Amino acid sequence: MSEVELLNVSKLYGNKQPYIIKNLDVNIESGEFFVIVGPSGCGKSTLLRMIAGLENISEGVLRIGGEMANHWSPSQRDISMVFQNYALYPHLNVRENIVFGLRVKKISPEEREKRLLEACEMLNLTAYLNRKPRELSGGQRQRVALARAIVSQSPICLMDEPLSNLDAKLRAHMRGEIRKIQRQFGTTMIYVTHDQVEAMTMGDRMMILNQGKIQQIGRPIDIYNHPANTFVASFIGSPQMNMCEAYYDGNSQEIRINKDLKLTMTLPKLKTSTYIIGLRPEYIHIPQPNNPNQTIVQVEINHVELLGNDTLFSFQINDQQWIAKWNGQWLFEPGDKISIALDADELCVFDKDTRQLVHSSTRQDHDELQKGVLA
Amino acid sequence: MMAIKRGSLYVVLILIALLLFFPIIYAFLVSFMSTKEVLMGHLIPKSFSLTNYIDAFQALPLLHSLINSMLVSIITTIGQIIVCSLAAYAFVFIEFRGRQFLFFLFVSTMMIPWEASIIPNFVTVQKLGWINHYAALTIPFFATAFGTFLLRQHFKTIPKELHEASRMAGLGHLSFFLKVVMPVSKTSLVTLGIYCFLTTWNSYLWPLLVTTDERSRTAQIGLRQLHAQENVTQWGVVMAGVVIVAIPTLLVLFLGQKHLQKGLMDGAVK
Ligand SMILES: Nc1ncnc2c1ncn2[C@@H]1O[C@H](COP(=O)(O)OP(=O)(O)OP(=O)(O)O)[C@@H](O)[C@H]1O
Ligand SMILES: [Mg+2]
Repeated sequence: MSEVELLNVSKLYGNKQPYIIKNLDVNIESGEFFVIVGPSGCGKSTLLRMIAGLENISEGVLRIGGEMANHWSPSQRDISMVFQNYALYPHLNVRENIVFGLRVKKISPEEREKRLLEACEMLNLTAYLNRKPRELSGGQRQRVALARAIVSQSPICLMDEPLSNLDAKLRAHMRGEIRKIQRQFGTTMIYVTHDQVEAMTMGDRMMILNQGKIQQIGRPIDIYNHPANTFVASFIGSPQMNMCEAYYDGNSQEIRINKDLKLTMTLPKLKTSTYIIGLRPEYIHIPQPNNPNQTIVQVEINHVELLGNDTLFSFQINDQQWIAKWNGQWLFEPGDKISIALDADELCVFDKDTRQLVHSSTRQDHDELQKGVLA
Repeated sequence: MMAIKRGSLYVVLILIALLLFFPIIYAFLVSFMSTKEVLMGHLIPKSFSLTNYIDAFQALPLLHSLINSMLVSIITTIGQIIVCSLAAYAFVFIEFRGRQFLFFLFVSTMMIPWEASIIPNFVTVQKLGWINHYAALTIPFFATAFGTFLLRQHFKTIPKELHEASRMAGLGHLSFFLKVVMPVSKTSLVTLGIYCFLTTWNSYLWPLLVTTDERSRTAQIGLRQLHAQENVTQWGVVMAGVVIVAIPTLLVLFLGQKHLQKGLMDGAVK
């Protein structure tokens, strides 16, 4: 059953063009963890607010639990929400802020206390129960906002960048906790984020929005491997996918990136033309001897970032900066000339005009190796 | 150099403060003098005796009029806070057609001086049979454009997400008003309260019009009567009355000031 269903939903603020959301069609299943990502201003918060009933729906239908819900009041929808800017009650302390909604719902004091303590335990808030929001740090406030949503145990929960203000360690911890609670209560979660890791790891499915239009919906890993268009390709994955124009010659079955760099690949469906090719940074390899699939090319490094476990370095391909990601620590200097290896099987190819995917890389998973390590 | 600059600044400030305070200080000093001393133009009384104060209470039902003033001021203040905050709430949190227009119409009544409408108001009150009742002294001041304007400006600074969060939690308008809007607006409510209390306490013309008997008169009118009662005005007694009447206003200012805190909204949003 689908819990939240959006049929052809559009949004205009105050009946004025432009459309902030345009013809959005998506079903979110009961108990699903649904992640929404997109650049700033693409309409993510607006979408959440429409589902919550805080913003009217200009066109289209919203169904909740199978019933038309366009005109339900926010409280009728029984949805909890973590606001992008927290929205804590400034005159109430942490404890009162968290149980505020439970009081309204007439939940018994014992149950209230139980949920409060559980949530505070999980979010490390127990020491701050009697403080006012203004006496908390940004991250602590954000956790209070999270706790308020968690204790309500509503069947649908909306979160608008709920971890944006936390440090890396706490964020990693919270990712796991939110996922755990969501599974435990079978909550239908709609989760907006800017964070690549959250987007990739938390969701059952992910939706990429740009300028109010759906770019792609699917399992995060499928989207990573088969980005529907150049926007998704460059938006998902960090560092982003390297792209440039290249000419495909159907007769010689060659992709020509420039006069020195040609990759041979069979693309039976494709006619001879100029395309946009994409290659993820981790698919730029260290040359291996005797690997017939590899095409080796010399490049000049112009920037290096040593991350400890990985090394990122960039170089110029045609008019584009490409970034490569190599495992381990490589002490290159800008100006060094090195050999890198590319594999034609790992290229994504996009139409130059429509920017839609026409061929995706065929080498993503470690199927073979996986069999070897599975006990 | 710094010290000289600072020192001279203080001297100037003190002089100006003395100048501004002089009438009050002088009134206070006069309240201890006999009529003869006042007429001789003394600045400092010979002795600080309380005879004038006792006379003031005896010459007039001063205590009774003080109680009247107190009741009228308190009722007006409470009434005004209730009515104005409800009106301001509607202007900020309830969306209806013509809200903006209505608000400006409402506020534009501030441009009409109170004196211009005093006759029609008097006739209305008279027709209602409120002459010599507290109702006449209080109810006309419950709804004021200024109070509504002041509170609306403050309510507008409440982040809309607070309202939204309350709506999602299932709060209706009244509970949101009572549980969230009023507590976070304490500063403005106190400001309005003090302002309203002082204006009501000090009002003269309207109470003079709508009260005719001693029983319902307020303190300001009582003071005025001290002048006229004898042929030679006993300035010492008048000033004693003035000092007594001024005390509650000072108290209200001092007590209210403690509640004027900054940053009540801090921490609500990012
Ligand atoms: N009340 C409003 N009136 C008019 N336009 C609005 C209103 N609220 C938002 N917008 C516009 O709608 C668009 C989408 O806004 P929204 O807040 O949904 O973006 P977002 O995807 O959440 O961005 P971010 O990631 O920065 O939070 C923006 O271009 C914004 O300017
Ligand atoms: Mg947003």
